[in-house]
Amino acid sequence: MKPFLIFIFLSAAFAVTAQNYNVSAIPDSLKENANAVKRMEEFHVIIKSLDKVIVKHRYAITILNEKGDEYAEYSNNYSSLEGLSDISGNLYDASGKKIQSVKKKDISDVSIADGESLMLDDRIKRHNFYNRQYPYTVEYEDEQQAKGTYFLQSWHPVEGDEFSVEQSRYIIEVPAGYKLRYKQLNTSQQPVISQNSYAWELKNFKAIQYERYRPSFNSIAPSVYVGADDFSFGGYTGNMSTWLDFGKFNVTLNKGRDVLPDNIKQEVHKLVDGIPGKEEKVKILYEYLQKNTRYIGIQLGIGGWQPFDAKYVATNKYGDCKALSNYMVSLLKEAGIKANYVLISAGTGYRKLQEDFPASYFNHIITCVPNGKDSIWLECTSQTKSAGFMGSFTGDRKALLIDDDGGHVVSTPFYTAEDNLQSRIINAVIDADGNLAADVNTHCTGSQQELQHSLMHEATKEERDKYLNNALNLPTYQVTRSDYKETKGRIPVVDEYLHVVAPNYVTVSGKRMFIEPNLFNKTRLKLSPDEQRKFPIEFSSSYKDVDTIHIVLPTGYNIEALPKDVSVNNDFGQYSIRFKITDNNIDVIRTMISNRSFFQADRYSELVKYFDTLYKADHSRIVFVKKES
Amino acid sequence: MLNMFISKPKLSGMRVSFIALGVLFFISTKTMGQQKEGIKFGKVTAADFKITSPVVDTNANAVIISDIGSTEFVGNNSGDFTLVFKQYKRIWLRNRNAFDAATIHVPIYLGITYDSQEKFEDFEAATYNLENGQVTETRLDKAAVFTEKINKEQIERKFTFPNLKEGCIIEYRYTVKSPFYRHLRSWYFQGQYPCLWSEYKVMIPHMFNYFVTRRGLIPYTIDSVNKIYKNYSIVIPAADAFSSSDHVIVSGNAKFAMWAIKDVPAFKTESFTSSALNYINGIQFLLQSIQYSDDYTKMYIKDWIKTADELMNDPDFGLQLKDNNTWLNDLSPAISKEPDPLVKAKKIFEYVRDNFTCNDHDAYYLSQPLKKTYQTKAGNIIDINLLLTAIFINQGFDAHPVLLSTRSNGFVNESTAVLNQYNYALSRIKINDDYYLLDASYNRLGFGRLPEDCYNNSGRVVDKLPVLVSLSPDSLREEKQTSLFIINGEKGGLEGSFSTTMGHYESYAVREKMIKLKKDDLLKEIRKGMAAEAKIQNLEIDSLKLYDEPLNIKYDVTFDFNGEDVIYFNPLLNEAMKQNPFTSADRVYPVEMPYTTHEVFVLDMEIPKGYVVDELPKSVRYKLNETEGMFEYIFSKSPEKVQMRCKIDINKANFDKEDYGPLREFYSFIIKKQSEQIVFKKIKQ
Repeated sequence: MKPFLIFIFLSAAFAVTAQNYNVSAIPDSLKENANAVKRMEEFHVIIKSLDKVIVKHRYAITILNEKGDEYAEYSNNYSSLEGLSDISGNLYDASGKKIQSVKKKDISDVSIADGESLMLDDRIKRHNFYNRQYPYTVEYEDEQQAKGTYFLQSWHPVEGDEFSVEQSRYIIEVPAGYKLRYKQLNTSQQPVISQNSYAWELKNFKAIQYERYRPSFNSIAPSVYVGADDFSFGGYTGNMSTWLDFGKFNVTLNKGRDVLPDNIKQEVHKLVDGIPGKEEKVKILYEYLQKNTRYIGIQLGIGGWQPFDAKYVATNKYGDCKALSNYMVSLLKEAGIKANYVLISAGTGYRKLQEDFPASYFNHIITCVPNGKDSIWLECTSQTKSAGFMGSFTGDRKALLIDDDGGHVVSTPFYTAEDNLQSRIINAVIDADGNLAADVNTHCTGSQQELQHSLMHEATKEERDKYLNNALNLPTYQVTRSDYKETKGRIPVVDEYLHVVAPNYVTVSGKRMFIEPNLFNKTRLKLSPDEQRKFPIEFSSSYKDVDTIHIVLPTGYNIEALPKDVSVNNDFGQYSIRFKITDNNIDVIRTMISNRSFFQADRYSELVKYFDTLYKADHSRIVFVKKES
Repeated sequence: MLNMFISKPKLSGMRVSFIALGVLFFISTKTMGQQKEGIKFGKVTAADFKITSPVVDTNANAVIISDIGSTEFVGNNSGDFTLVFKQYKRIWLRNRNAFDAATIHVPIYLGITYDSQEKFEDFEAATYNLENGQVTETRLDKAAVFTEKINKEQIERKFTFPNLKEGCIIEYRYTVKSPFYRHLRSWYFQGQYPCLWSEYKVMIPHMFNYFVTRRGLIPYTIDSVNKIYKNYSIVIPAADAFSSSDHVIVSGNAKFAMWAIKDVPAFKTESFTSSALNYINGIQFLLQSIQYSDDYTKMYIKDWIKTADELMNDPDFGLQLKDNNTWLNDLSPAISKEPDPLVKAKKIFEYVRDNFTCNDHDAYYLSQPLKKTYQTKAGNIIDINLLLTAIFINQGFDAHPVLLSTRSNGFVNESTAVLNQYNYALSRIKINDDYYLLDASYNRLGFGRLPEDCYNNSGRVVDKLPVLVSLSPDSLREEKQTSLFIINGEKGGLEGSFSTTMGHYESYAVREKMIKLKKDDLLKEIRKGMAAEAKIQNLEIDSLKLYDEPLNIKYDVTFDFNGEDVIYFNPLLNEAMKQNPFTSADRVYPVEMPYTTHEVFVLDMEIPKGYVVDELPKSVRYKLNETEGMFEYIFSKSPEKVQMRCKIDINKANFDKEDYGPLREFYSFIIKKQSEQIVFKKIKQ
């Protein structure tokens, strides 16, 4: 019997490797607008038990041109909680002939330098054939062994723009009686369900092209999320069929980690005892945290999910987002204020929380102090942010608040156009030699103060000067004075003062003088009119700009051409610009309001027109002629 | 400044044991001299938190109070010397923007065996805070020192300080014991933060000779070398179980050098600086020789003739160029059968350039055998350009590698044959009587063209006669020619044709950009920069793939003025300079531009029908320091036509810092002048 079995295995193996990677076999429709084509993919997730998951992955991608090279590199992570082995791969030429194979010693092994953490135990294995003869095909195969079911690898067969998929299959095997949850996005295809497995397949998916203001790639590409029911992870067990249960795991992880040393307890009481008002107390303790801790990431094993305890932070005065949030919750608890640890997906481009499908979408932790309708949100890794302000990093999104009974989905604050204001007053003088000197006072609030906030707190004076001397759209200039004043609050405010000197800003030697009076706030976007718009249009945030500009000119000029006032008020936004000339004074008032909004693709030609109008009006030029003497 | 440590020793096989050589030393019994230490670890008083110094202004987020290092040689128990490097550093963190300075990375080099790796020892670190007039100390737990593997040859020990508060003082010290003579650690006296006292002491036994490179513009406070008579006790272990170990004392006049600078300002980076390393005060050591006995000295730095010969015989460099390399015989007949030598050389160059990938442009040895590079199609800069050289030799050419240090790697001491100053290699080939320098490591570089970064004054040919080849940026000229012809169209309005032939570096940049862009995208981009009345069409890009040729872009442009009474016309279309490359008002270091420049723009236009010229920009000629640069902007007009010629010449690449002001003004003048418009007025009927 034995030799016979081997024969079967061999022939099976042969059948698998005899895949046809001839590039001529790719349908033309998949080559259109594509830089790379996924020829085949077999993504096989096998849940052996709650604490053992095997993931066998095999795929082949044809790289059509140089732009597709980014998909030619193999890269996968491993850590103490997830092993990675059996990496193999082959390189094929355009005709499908194998020309090279992966050699073990050519696989590089590097640490993940995330630029933030002091120590991580995650490392990456990488390989690249560095082929340069297009088209070519790479084929890779590997196996991962996860010690737990907390993260189940979901399926994202389309890896980016200008990337088509000939065939990709995702199979998940579960133990008998195991309840698998799944959620499909942008695909109507139902899984093929057999006794212990679920399978999805994507075939002949045409390449997507990038479009300005479209929704994020994740929300337009087909994918399947899977989630465990009962799970095990790093020695802990739990259930995540509901958000409430999901959160219970964090309750367990954080249990007993909120004990403060006595000296810190005393400090808390010294700071807030006798202070009336919850909000004031929260502010004092948050500022105490900011003053006394800093961000240092050390994430080893389960330490990637479990915070260092409050005592550790109290002693070392550092921690990561988990440790610092846990510490903040502990400080507030000591002051008799209930606060919660909140799991969130921060930044942009990261996966959004799907409320109807509990799973781990998160990459960050913040703190929430419930306060009726007016919860106070705290970013514990920042030493400078205002208490209660989330901004663009964590604002306007769903998050998971951990309470004693488990997890609860909550929303972080949304900021309106009025909250995100930039109001700028410019007083400029152009002297007889054409030099410009301007006092620029800018009042920035909400997300529009984030840049100024970081210029104030995170940049050295040298970096700030360097930035300011490159930021303005003037040919040669110098910011000779700069000054910042911050007013903290739920909607923080920064008042910026700049004194700008631009020598030879205009030429006064000739007969005429040309001035674009909208000095600093010009729309730079021009959309292409001839595009076939496929996806909807999304403005993801709201803001308001008001510019009040006063320019004094040298005397002795008459106006030759004055631009027309422009005013637009439609779904896309409200915009107006007005010009006024009195003697040798120019006055301009520009207002722009843009709201978070969503439009169907067929509105695109209107959008093009809208931006064209703004572009033209913002670049309006005034021409003066020397008075005949 | 330990993080700026940049020496790249070749570790494998660099250690020469004294036992292996069986050398005898004479014996002495005199004791070694004692060294003094300045500030004491752990002694921080309230007064230490009040720091005033001319180099500490309100902008300094941190101040290095003291940075003291030393390297000493100590006899060990395996018949050899150990290099003992010590660093002690005390830093005042004035505010939290400097807290990053409290995370320390110490590189540790590994040899092939555990026995030959460096060891990190005697670590101590503490944070001091001043609270109510009292100094409190928080010690760093030794368990909180992490180890990270960087690569096969290097690990990093890293740690961060506990209990930081604004205004705290941190200090640490450690020892690294190293078996690698070639790895006598460098020292940098200047860094991101001002430093009150930076000091490095080195005690070198008499038989060791190091070549010392000093850089920087700040004068040393202490700069001394003395001879001190020293005894080194070395135990030579037993050769086998039947013999006993031996104890020898090595004595002689050791060289004791000390360098220190008081009040070092923070280093500020500036644009148009080839490498900060050329200007930061630092001391580097390169092992020159070891005198094992009166009549045997092993030379590590030799003259260039000997060094080049060794390099040509080094298996990690030139040795494989001597082989037949029969594995290269399968080269395509289309290349090997080419009769014209120059055409053939180009074909070989293009074959390597188009089929191989350079994954590291900073190396000075082969990372793998040439055959492996040939098979895997990838390697570092030495692998790629030596493979190119090997193919040339295999095909009967006279070709040699050329060593150089790139601009970003810093200047070299040309006359000293120290190899780890270099980080790059080219291939030099002789065809008929002409030499060509070639670099096949960048996909879009033409035959005989080199990246800007290679123009760092000179390169060294690795040949029997290792001559210098000049790579002066002053010899490099970036030329651009642009023309715009405009005539009255048949249907009213103006019709023009624009053509620009770019310099090689701009051509290269556009070619790189066009990997990600389609021709249509470029057309859209050009349209965006144009005035509303200009319509662009029929874009043509010539020589996009002909990398030896300059890139040429052409398009047609039409202007429709809608019968306006006054037309304002920008004579340079979208080619006017918009931003001064020199933004900063002041300058500390010289200006090093990558090349000289020569740009010409010619306009020949018919006056729109029904209009007359109302105003033309005034013609000017502006000279930069008499001969170093010139800007010409010349207009002429006839009843039918306006003509303009704009020329910008920068005749040298390097300028002293004193020339910075005039240089900035020169550009400022160009921008202002180029923004002037031609004004046409409608003829009143």
